[in-house]
Order: sequence, then structure tokens, then C-alpha cells
Amino acid sequence: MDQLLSILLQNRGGSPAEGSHLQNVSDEHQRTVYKALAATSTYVLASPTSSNDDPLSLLDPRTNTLAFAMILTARIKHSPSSSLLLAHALTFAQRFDPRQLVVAPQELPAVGEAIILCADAARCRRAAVRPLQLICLRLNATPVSGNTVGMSAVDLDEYAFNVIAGNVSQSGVHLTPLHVQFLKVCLLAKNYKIARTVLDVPITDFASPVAPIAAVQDFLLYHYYGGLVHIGNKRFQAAQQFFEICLNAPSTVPSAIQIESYKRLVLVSLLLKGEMTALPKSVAPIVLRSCRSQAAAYLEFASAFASLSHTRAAAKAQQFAERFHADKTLGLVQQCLADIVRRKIQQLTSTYLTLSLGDIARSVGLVDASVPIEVAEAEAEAHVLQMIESGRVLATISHADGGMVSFHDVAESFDSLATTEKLERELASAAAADLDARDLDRKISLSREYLQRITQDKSKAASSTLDDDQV
Amino acid sequence: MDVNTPKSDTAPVGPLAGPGGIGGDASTSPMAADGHSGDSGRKKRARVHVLSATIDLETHIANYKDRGARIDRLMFIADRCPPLQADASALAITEIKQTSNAEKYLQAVTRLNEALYAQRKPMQPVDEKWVEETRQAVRAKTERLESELKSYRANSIKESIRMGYTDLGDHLFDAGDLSGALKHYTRTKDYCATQKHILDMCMRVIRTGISIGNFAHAHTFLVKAESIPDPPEREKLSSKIASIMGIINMESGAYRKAAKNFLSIQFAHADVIFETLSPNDIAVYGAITALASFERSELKSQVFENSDFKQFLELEPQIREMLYNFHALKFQACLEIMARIKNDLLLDIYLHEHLDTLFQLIRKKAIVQYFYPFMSVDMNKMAENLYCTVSELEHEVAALIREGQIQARIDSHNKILRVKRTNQRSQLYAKSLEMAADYAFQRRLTVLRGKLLERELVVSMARR
Repeated sequence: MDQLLSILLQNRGGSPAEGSHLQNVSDEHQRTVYKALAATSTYVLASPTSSNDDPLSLLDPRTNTLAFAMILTARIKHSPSSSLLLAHALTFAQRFDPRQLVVAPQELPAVGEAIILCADAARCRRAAVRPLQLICLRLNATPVSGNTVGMSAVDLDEYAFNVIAGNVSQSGVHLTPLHVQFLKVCLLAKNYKIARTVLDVPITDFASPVAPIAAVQDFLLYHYYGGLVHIGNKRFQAAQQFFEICLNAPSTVPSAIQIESYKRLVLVSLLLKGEMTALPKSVAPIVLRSCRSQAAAYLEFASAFASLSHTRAAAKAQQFAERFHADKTLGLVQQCLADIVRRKIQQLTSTYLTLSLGDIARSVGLVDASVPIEVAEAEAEAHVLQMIESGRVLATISHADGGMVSFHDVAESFDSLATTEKLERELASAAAADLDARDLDRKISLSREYLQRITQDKSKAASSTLDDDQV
Repeated sequence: MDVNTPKSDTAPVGPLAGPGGIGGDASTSPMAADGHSGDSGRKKRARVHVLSATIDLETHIANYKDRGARIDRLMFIADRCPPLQADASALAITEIKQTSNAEKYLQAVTRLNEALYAQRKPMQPVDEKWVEETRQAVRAKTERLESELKSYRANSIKESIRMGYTDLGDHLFDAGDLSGALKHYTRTKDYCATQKHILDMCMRVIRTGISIGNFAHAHTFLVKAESIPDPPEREKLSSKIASIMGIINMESGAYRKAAKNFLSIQFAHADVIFETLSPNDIAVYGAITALASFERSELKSQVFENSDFKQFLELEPQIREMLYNFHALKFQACLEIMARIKNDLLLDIYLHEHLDTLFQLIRKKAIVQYFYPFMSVDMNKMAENLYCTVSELEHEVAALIREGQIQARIDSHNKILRVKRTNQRSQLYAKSLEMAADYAFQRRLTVLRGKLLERELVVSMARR
């Protein structure tokens, strides 16, 4: 261990801490370091120095990212409950340099796992959130091929703030196993807000040289977890998109993750549109089929929901309660049930200018024999009030005329400066997307596989016509 | 037989709130009660019993030249209209006695006696002798025809075989064995030599099919009949086919098509239309289906400027009034007539099932057209003009708004209906932003999928 450490520390003195002109040299150097580290047994890696120092406090993760990562992993695996390790993990997350990990792409996921293990051992899942968030943020913020100076943790937080504000649009964001780990930790810790800092940057690729995803399951899980997080944040539109992406992954067999996504997609679509919307055509038919059969209960609930009959939907919810409970979708189902009444009230706005609370209660079915009209009216009023507050309807309630609700037209008139700005932004992003698509098209049409395929097809077509002629 | 007995003694007649009988012969017809008398489950297609009707049985029935049609209609009326049950069955019995349908005779007598019993009048005995004789005669004739047919078949003379089957079919039809008749008519298919033969066969099959109630079967053969090239008396035939097609379309709920069919019938050929229809029926069916399904301009061009149909309309002055009132936007008068004739029409063998739907469609059209020229309307006045209460109207209008047929919103507090102002511009903005977002997402979906494929990340069976 002492030997190893001396090599590492000596190296720091020799190689410049920063500077791009030595990038290649340092790459080579990294490789030798990695070889040396890989050759060392984990037991050795996990042991302290002869002078009983902690090697992790001697190393700087900025310059010795790889060594720090591997030693950290080894240490945690060796004794996960050691209290200092989480602090080290945090240091690592704050300061590590992703470029140095390119030579050992499996190390970073290992660190992530180790951090989770460590947090579990400390019986504090939340402890893993912050380090993983920082790692993901750095990965997102650092285009790997680029040459940016590493950001400090403070910079990263600012970056995260911008992400949530929607001010970040970048390309070349790679999905890594760390993202999946991070989301999982967020879900387990029920900390949905913080997940947005990572989720809101759209993934564009998944072959990060630092930590590429190993299997399609990571992709599926990321979008499934992402959907769950969005549900937790009540951002149903985004959740719907995430589930759709998950279902849209190319498949030859359905994945259980996809089926779970489908179940939630059904419920989220109900909340958004009031019915189950058609899926994109590119979803594999076999996936669709098994989803439909696996999620039959959800589809039945959806058709009951679409009839906007609260009693029918509630009956279905009751009928499949066990199922929903087992799937942990009961919360969403309850939200759907509550939404039926509001959806009906919303429908009324397109038909009526004014309507008394009593009539509202009657026409959305709050009144029945067991409920006195005053109670129903109060309930209707609560719903309307809640909808006004959430901006779903524009209305005023007047108690002067015995509880009359007047609905107003939507105020948005699209004539402000903000509209122009928004339009311009949309146009710019559309143009950028168009360029991207063209690029991709060019790349595909120049690719060897494509050309081969084309020429093959042509020769096949030619030969078949020849055959026809001969016949 | 006294047909138009005042119905004072058939006690449980509906509320006598009729707006004055202005029927064909108002003096003798019983008062038209306020229709649809309670017991009708509208949507359930439950059997509707008409408790009072202004129909004049004898004149009504005399319109039909075909005996089968007369019997069917009389039996239908006897079935649906208790006040007319006795008269209708009695009339039917006289008609049936001229056929050889013993079963139907027994049925009719049972109906008659039910009615007589309810009125505490002496029942009519069954003419056992006639029944027995008829049954025997039918049996004998069937056997004779069958043996004849057998010998024709042995000699394999095409024309004779066809005649044999047709005769047998006719005989069975007369005796009331409709499915047997249908079977034999269908068999003639292989022995038809000329177009006339094919046409005969088709018409017989259609007639039987419709009598059984198998409209789909009738439709198949109707298409066949239509496709015969250069049929004899093309004009007449096309009128007849149109009348049949009209019934079939009406039965299947294709009211618009049905209206077009009825409107294309030429008055000159009113005597050759389908046997079970009278020219009066053409006027009624045509007018009601057209009202329910045509736009205003179409009504004008295809109904009011249609000289043939005008002549049909002359036969049914009430219907004509109704049409003209509707077109003149006198909805109150129009709906009044509708309420008045509704009970009679419910006794129509083809129309009864569709009447509620059709009348509702007409009402909807009336509401839409009533509101069309206004920016805002007082719903109290509107209800008065449209022959209903305000709350009923509110429901109807709300439904129409939901269907998108009226661009308006209801001020339920002040009972005023106002035109909805839509801001096209902001709608356009909202819509295009939404579309842009959707496209962007679709693109993202596709690119991600492509990238996954490129890296061969495909969900597949786990490798071991």
C-alpha cells in the first residue's frame, strides 16, 4: 500500500495538475496507474498505510480520481459501516475528474454502488443522494470530449438551479448507470425534488466513455424511475413522456419494467387526457400485447374512467384494489378518482356561463339519496375552489345569488412580449432539432451498413425481375 | 263492424290533454292523448303500447293493396294499441280467412277474444271447420306441388323446376311458412334463365326476408336485383328498389340514405312500390327521415323542389304541414304536429322503433336552427316556442353544446343562451405550441430508439 501510494503521490508532483497539452501523456499514465491498481488486491487497497494514515486523506480526488475511486470502493466493500467513508465519498463526488476514468469505465458505477452500500450500512439512505447527485451533475455538465475546467461543487449547484429553471439546453448528455442509481436512491429516500436537477436534462446518448450503460435495462429503469419521480413531483406530462420512451425501446420480448411502465402510463394518461392515448407505432407489438394483457385491470379502470362515472370507476378501483395495492399504484388510482369530478366540472365550463353550485353538484353526480344537498354543494364548492386555485378553470363564486358560479374565458391571449420570446425559443430549438435530424440522416446514409443494405436490395430486386422475365 | 267506437269504456286511457284532434276525419277519431303515455322505456326499445290513436283503421288499411301487408299491419296494430285491438283483429280475421294461414287465424282470434274479454263483450268462437279444412288443403297442396316438383326434377326441365319451386314457395308463403317459402325461393336461383326470372326470384326473397325481419338477407338480394343489366321497365323497377332500400336503410339507422331513397321514388310509379308500403307511407317516411338528417339547403333542394315527392306529400296533409312549418321556422307548429301524430306513427310496422330517435334528431335540428341567427336568446321564450319546459330545454341544449352542434354557452342563472366567442388567434397559438412540443417529443423518441438500435441495446431474452 505504501508503495502504491508513493507512486501515486509522486506522480502528482511530476505531472501538471492542469493543462491540455499533456492530455495524451496523462492518458497513458492513467492506464499504467490503472494496471497497477487492478493488480493490487482489494485487501491491500482497503488497508491503511504503514504509518496508519488514511490513504484517502492523502490523495486528492481531483488529480488521482482513479486511485481514489478504487480505494474508496475497496474500503467500503471491506467495511461499509465506517463512518468516515461517507465524508470521503462526498469529497470524491465534489472534486473528481471524469476524464481520468475513461480508461476504467466500470469503476464509476462501482463507486456508485459502494456509496449506496455505505449509506445503507449507516441506515441513512438519504446520505447517498447528495454524492450521487453531484456525480450525475458533473457527468451531465461535462461534455466528456470537451476540455472544460472542472467545476467546483458550488458551480454544480448553480448548474442544477439552472436546470430546474429550464435554462439549460445542451446536447451530448449521456445516460450512465450512475443516473439510474441516483434516481433509485431518490425514490427510496422519497426526495423527488432533488431528482429534477438531473432528470430535466434530456438524455441524448448512452455511450459515455466514463461509464457507458451496460444493458438496455439501465435505459428502461432510468425512464421508469424517472416517470415515478415525475409522478412524485406531480409533473404528469413529463412522466407520460418518460414511460412512453421506456415502452418505445426496441424489444424482442417484453420487459417487466415496460409492463410496469405501461400500468402507470395508463393512469397518468387518464389524469392528463381523460383516456388512454394511443402509443407511438414504433412500440413493439409484442410489448403492447403483453402490456395489454398484464394490465387488463388498468384498462378496465380506464374505460370506467372515460365514462366519467364516479361510481363505475370507484367500483372498478374497489374490484382491483388488491391488484393496485400490490402494484403500488393505489395512490395514482385515488388521484384519478378525485380527478373525475374535476374533469366533469371542467366540461361544464364549455357548456355554461353560470351555474349554481347545486346544479354543479347534480350534474357531476355528487348528489345522491344519502347525501343532503347542502353537503353536496359544499363539496362542489370545494372542488371548484381548488380548481380555481390550481388554474384549471377561471371562475368566480358568488354567494349573493345562493351560490352561483360564473365561468370566465381563458385569459391567455398570446399578445405579450413573453409570447414572442417563447415562440422564438421554440423556433430555435425546432431548427436545432432539424439540423440534428439532418446530420443523423446524412450519417446514416453514408454508413457502411446502410449502403451495403441498399446495394443488396437493389441486386436482389434486379435478380428477381430477371427471374420473372425468364419465366 | 264499428271501427271508430269512442273509447269511453276502455278505462285506463292516458290523460286527455290532446290539443284537439285535427286528424283525417276529426269528428269520429278519438282524442289524441298526450302521447307516449308513460310506459315507454325510450331507449330500451321496450314494447310501446299506444293507449290512444287517431288512426282510422279502414281508410288506413285500404291504402295497402297487398293482403299480406294488410294482415301484418293490422296484427301489429292489434298488438300495440289496446283500444284498437278488437277492431284491428276483427279486420285481420276477415282478411286472413281469404288466405290459407290457419296459424295466423288462430292468433288473430286469440287477440280478438282478449280484447273482447277486456271489454266484457261476448267472445267470438273459433271457426274450427275452416281451420281444419284449411290445414288439410294446405297439406294436400303442399304434397301435390312437391310431387310435381319431383317429376320436374326427374325430367330436369329447368323452367318447370323453377316454376315448381316458385309455386311451392308462393303456397308456403300464403300458408304462413315463411322460412319454408324463403328456402324454396332461394332454390330457384340455379334455374333462372332470363333477367325477369332473376328479378322475380329476388323480389320474392326480399319480400319474404323483410316479412321475417331478416333485413340483411333482403339487402343482399336487393343488391343483386339492382345489378341486373337492362331490366324490363327500368324506371318502375328503380322506384321499387328505392322503396325497399329505404326501408332497409331506415331499419339499420341510416336515416340519411333512407331519406334519399324515399325521395327518389317517382310518383307515377307509386302503384308499383314495395307491396308492404302505401304511397302515404312514402310521404311519411321520406318526410321524417329527411327532416331528421338533411341540412336546410338540402331540404329545400331535395324535398321542396322535388315535384314527385310533393305529390306524395299531398296524400298526407299533416306531414306536409309539419315539413313546411319546419322550413318556415315555425317550430312550435311543427313540434305540435309531431306530438299529435306521434301515436299514430308508433303503430307503423317499420317506423315505430325509430320514431323516438328520429323525433329527437328533428328536435335537435329545430333547436340548432332556432338559435342560429341569434347572439343571445332568452331560454324562457325559446322553450315556449320549442314546446317544452325550460329545464328540459337546458338539458337538450347542454347536450347539443357538448356535441359541438351549437357554439354557445348557457347562462343558467339568467336562463340566457349566449354565443360563444372563440379567439381563433389564441387558439391557433396554443395549438401550434402544443404541436411543436409533440413533434419535438416524437423526434426525441425516434432518435433515442435509433441510438439504442445502433448500440444493439435491445430488450431480449436474457443470455445464459
